[in-house]
Amino acid sequence: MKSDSLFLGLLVALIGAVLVATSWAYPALPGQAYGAGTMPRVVGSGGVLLGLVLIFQGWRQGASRQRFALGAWARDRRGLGVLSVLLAAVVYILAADLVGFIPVASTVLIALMLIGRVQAVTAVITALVASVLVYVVFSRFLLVPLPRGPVESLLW
Amino acid sequence: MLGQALSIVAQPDVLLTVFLAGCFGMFVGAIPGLTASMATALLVPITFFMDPVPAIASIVAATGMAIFAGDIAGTLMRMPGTPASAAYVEDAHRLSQAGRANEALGACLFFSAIGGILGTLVLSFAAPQLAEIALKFSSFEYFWLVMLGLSSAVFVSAGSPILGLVSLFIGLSASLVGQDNPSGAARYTFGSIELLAGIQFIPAMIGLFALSEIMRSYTKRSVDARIPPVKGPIFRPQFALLRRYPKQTLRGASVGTLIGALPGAGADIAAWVSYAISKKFSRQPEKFGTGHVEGLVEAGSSNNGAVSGAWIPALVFGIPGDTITAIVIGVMFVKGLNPGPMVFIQQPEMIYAIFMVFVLANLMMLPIGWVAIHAAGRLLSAPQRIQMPLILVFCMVGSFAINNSPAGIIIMLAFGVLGFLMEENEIPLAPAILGLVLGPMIEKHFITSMIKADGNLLTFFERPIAAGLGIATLLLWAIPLIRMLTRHRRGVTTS
Repeated sequence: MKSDSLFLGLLVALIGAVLVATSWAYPALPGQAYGAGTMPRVVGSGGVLLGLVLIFQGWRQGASRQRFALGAWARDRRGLGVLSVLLAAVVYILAADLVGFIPVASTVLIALMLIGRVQAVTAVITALVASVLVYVVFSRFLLVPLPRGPVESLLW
Repeated sequence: MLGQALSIVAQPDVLLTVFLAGCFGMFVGAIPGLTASMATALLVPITFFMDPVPAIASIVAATGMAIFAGDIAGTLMRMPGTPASAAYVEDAHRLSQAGRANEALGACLFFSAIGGILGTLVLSFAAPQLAEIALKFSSFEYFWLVMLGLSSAVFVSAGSPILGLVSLFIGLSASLVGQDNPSGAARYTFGSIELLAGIQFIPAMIGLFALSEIMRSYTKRSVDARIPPVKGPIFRPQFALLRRYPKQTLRGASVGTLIGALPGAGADIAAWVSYAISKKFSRQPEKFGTGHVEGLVEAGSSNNGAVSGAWIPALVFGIPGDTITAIVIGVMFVKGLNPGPMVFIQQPEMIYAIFMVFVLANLMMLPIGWVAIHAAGRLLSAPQRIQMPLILVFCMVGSFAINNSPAGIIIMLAFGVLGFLMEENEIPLAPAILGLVLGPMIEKHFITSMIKADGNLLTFFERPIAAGLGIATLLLWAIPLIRMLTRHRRGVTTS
């Protein structure tokens, strides 16, 4: 998703303005002019300035250019691939605590590999071996408390 | 005393620990999505079962190796392992695309080791003196130093400085989140308890660099693309490079050690400042960012020089300079070695033993690194459609393991989308991560300085070192502006 300088400038200036506007809500150090609001004000003002420069650049380039251009990938199967990566992470975040690491990680792996057109058998074997291996190494040896479910309880 | 120190180090258990920890660091660091800080953090519980010297040796070895190993994924896949290696990831990656991965990785390895060893030599001979100087740094000097690091990231890297500034703006805005500010107010946390501690930079970095790269791999027409395996000699080209760039190597290592010695400054600023210096004094500055090895040599040795330099405040005063030294100071206290001025008087043999371990770890990095380059090169050349899903799982585990909290994965996801959109719009990623890491530091020193100066900005230039750093920073800002104006004027006259 490519936007032109005008839109990018508007966005940056807007975020900058929000930072400046909200900065006044944060208290200064007692007896001082500076505090938690100072930095948001400085960064925000910088953002507004930067946004104005970008808007100027975009305005000079003229309106002939497209405001937004989606890459060619977004229109075919590849767009699905990009979305599935995000979806996989969301599924992991939501489900791992409920069902445990191995089932969720292997499901996510199988799904992503199938979307990448890996052969089903290869995908299933790789996914299962990898998720069990990662679980054992990180949870058992490196003491990272990866989410445990019924499958993990079978291991030890 | 050196003999005593040597007898502590030259024990089979110490040597074996250094070797095993080195392999562990290499393994963790080489996997995209897992980082050097994570390797260190994961090692801590294991060190509880060790004697003091092997315990510290294991962490030193694992860290050094993991930092180098991060360059492997950086070079081959453009997923740098640390903010510091983001300084030269573009050059390294382009070299590997041009079929010169062996040269690029060899340079990362070889000059990291040289930087580390030179840094350790400085550390052994001049730690107390350097620490004295570092203590004289006030908030003004720190403010300008951080500004210099950030400005280098924006103006030195290839691409448009305006888009570099957009990236920095994103990073600095993200760094505002949390309670780590002068009044301790919960800023932009939207009621979330997880956000009180701010946005963790490691998951953010994994998202920006690794997750966005995974997403990008799915936009390519052929998901079957493979990374070419690393071919050719690793070390042989390095001797020629050392002969060609001796000044750059030394300058990188010394600038790195000096910046590393400043508590809190660390390898991230050092690598960027060295990359900028290298470009400024290079005979071919136009080649930087296009796959030129010179910046790699200087920033690579600076990076590891700074890692060694960071031990100066850590050992002399017990002030940790970064996450890794902070973890080690914790381990030292547990082991009854209390870092601080007295440790040099009470247990000098221990300190010298630790210095020897540094040298040993840097030397051992060469053979283990050689094996790792070949092994990782082969592993990472598996088809991307199998590899990318696996890397995603590592990214999620790596983001989770930093605080053992799913919030890390959410941060990674958010920054992954952000990084993907930034790349689509040709906004460089590195200034954003540097802004996020250094944001709290610049805020602290800026506010302290403003209060001290009573709002008078000229005071920022009153102390000599601060003035020098300040002028260097302003020059960095002025050069692109002047260039833009002259280009504009030339455009007007020709039209």
